[in-house]
Amino acid sequence: MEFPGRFKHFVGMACFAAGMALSAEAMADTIKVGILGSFSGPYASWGVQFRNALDLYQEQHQSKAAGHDVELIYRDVGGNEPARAKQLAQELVVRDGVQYIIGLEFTPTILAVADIATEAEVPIINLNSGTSSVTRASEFLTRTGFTQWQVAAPAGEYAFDQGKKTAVIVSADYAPGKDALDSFRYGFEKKGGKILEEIKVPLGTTDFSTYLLRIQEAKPDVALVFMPVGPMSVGFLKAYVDRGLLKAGIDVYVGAEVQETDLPALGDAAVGIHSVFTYSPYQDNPENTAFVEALTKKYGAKGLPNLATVAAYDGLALVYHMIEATKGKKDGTAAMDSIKGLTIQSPRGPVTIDAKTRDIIQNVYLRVVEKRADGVLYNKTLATQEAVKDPWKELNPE
Amino acid sequence: MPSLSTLLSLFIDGASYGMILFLIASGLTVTLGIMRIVNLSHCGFAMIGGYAALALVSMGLPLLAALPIAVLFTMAVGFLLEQTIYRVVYRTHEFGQILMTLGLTYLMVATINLLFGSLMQNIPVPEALNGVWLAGGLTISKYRIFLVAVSAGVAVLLWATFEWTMFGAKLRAAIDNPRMARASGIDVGRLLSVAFAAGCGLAALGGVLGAQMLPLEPFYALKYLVLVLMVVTVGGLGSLKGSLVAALALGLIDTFGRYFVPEFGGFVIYVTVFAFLLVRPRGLFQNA
Amino acid sequence: MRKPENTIGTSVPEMRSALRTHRFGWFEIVMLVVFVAVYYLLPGYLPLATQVAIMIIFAISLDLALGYGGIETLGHAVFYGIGGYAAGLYALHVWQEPISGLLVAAIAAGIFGIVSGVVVLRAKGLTLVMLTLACATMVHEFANSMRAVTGGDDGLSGYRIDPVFGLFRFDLFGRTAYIYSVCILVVVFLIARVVANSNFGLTARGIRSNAQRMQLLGVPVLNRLVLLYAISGALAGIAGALSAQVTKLVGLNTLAFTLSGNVLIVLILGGIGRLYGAVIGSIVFVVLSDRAAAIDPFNWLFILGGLIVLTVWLAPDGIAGRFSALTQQLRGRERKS
Repeated sequence: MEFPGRFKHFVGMACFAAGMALSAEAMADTIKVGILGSFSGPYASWGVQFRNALDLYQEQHQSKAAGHDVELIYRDVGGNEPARAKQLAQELVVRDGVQYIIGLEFTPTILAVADIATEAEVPIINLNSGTSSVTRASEFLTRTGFTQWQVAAPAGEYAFDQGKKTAVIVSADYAPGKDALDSFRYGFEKKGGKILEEIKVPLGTTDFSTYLLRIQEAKPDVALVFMPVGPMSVGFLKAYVDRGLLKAGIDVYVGAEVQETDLPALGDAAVGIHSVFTYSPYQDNPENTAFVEALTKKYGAKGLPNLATVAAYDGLALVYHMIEATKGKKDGTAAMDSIKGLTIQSPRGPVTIDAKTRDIIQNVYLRVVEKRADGVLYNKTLATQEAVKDPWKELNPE
Repeated sequence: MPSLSTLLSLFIDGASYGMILFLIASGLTVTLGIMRIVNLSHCGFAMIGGYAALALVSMGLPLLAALPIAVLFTMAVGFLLEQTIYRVVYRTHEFGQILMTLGLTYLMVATINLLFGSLMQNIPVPEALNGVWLAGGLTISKYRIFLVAVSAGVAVLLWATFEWTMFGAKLRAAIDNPRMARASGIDVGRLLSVAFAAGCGLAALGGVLGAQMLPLEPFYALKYLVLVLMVVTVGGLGSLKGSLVAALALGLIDTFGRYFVPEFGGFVIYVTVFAFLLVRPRGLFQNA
Repeated sequence: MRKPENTIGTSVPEMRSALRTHRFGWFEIVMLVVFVAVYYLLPGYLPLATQVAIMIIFAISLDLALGYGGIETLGHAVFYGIGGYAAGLYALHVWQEPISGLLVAAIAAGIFGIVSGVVVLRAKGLTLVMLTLACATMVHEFANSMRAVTGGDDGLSGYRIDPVFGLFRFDLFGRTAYIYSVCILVVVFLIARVVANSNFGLTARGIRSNAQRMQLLGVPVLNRLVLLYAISGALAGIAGALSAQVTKLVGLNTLAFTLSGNVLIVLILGGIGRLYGAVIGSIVFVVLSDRAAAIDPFNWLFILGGLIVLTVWLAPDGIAGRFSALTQQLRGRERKS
């Protein structure tokens, strides 16, 4: 026992009670899944997408897996708050007795809960953080989003293949931006391209004029850009087009910045922007058609999904698979083993969980924004690179 | 050494950025000057103006028609709040005021979030103002020129009102010494109400016109608050002239700083303000 | 130190309350009972209760600076963050022992308090507010750019924390974390009380009510304020360090404006200048935001905003102030009858 003297007795009781709660949970017919996400605050749009997808999945499967009821417990982290994420994860595991946790948008929040995954043997599915190394923080972590390297390295390659010999990299000055810088450079230089300049833009910048001026003066063939989705990405791309850089022949390549959910904010300015990414709701495959149709039927026009929606949908699919593999028993190791090497047909195309690294392997698409006859902006797929593994993990073996 | 055209581009970018800051900050400095109230909700009025214009534009109105309506609407909202909630704010102690206006800002953020969603919104710029002028090696955004012109016009108008009208004279007296002004028969309360509403209108103008630089989203009201407070503090409480100079200076310093010392990018402006306030804690122009 | 100077500038009721708080009152006893009861009755809520305890420490530190010294700051998170990063770096590179980690954090934050205090505390009012804000923003930017040391936006992580006294491991249920945090809270509360009620604390109150007069009386005002600011900073650093040790990760949010704003809200909600206001405010704020976020996260800001406006409106001295006014009224009535 951990506590001496007078605490001992009570601690014993508390342990016993908590243990009872946990074992009772495993035998009962309801399997609880904790959902951690930002349902309030500046990042609430993530939470909305998670919820849309998860509720839809539950509805489609009558909330039943392997004969057990599946119950989702939503908790609001409210942004990039690691201490709060850890507290909520702890409470989900200890108090609510969840067997799985899905969610979290940011690298710090994921890293803060990694400990709990290991200690409680609760599988955690990371829906968004794009930092390659996070899956190494715990044996019980996996990912259904994407890694920054997975999309930005191919972006560099594609840009070169399209005849661009020189590039300027522009990225927001924070850790994911650093990943983007390195991976753009890796992809572009691997093919033989030349990086003329790296421009780091401080977080929170909304007036981009000076950075655009520097791009203009460097005169590259292409600009490889990474900005956090939101005011920065929209502001930058709008200013980029407005300043006539695109017209002047400096193409721009991005990743998640031109997802269809964010295109209305950009407006017609977005036409002609290239991106390399893993999902578009206008992608043509049967799973996606059914997925988008179900979402728009359930939520109307607001149901238009993005990668966060798909990641949540696939994340819950993984959880259902794990529940079936363990027949509803709480066995984190067996659950994790059951998804290693598993391939599912996701709306974004086939997705595989790497048996060795527990990271996601998926298709990466080169697209360009176009305007349909009915005025809707969308990403048109130009090329596909199949089953892309995270390049960072290949370059940095454990 | 950067070319002359680079410097000129930077100057126009910095100046237009500064002028937007001035429009938003001008109302705040006047109310601060009269009532010594740190109104943390002030940026919220810029946001309300921006969203009002957005709603009107999405109903099909052209931006230039939507602009005055949005400004009037924001003035009405400001006036209403001033007549009700701010009456309580005036009575409480200093930190109560900070807290209460912060709470009010939260309410504004929550309302906008409820009505418009948490995603960023875009007010399309009219075709005529879109794009750039190319002159020699120089690229100048048409919209930026438009911004500088409009806000310079507003600044001149403000200055004229302040210097040459009876209302302006009363305002100056109230800022200089509210008690004295009251004693000499000026209805400071009414004056404040008018100034407050006008300030909200100016903020709304800045919010709509500046939406390209300070993009609209529910947390707008909190995000750019620090920037606006810096302008007011550096300019000196209650000094319109100070705010104008400070806003222009900050806009230019920020823009030039990001170009010439990119590794310190976001730092420059804070370091400048910090250093300046140490030397002149009362700001550029404050007599009180 | 000459005794008489301390009383000058302090009103009589304030003196009385200062003298009274030398004793342990019912409030301390109730608090202890509550903390023990939470441990036994609500074992599933210990992680939340730990966050409450940390927030109380942070709010107490702010109360020393703001409530006792009148130092108006909107950048108090700078100490919380520095404490957190100091504790995290110490655990990562030097030693994983937690209590020495807290001390290191307190010293780091305290030193920063002295250095920044000497610079910013010359100002007053809005200028001071802006200076503290700019100061915190600069440190935030600095931590963001020093990625090699702080991990930047990814946060500082990957360190371990040894068991407390080599005996109590930080467990999954958050029991050790809770008891540890509450013990530190008690220590911090006692330190804060001693400081607040010492000659030095009374001088600080004097400065708050009338700095000029204190200056004329020969009190080295800036010196005293800097010292108070440093002590307050050190305590805030302990709060940050606790959070770093419990969460095993330090993020940039520990330095953010939001945190500075939140702790101010907590303190003003609870009541300024009476230490236990910090306690009440933290409990109300943290528990309420947790509950509200669980029930209706989308509209949480409505509740928070409304609550703040109503509190200032109806109880401008905070919940604790309202409460003590009530008890005083009752006492007055008793005496009359």
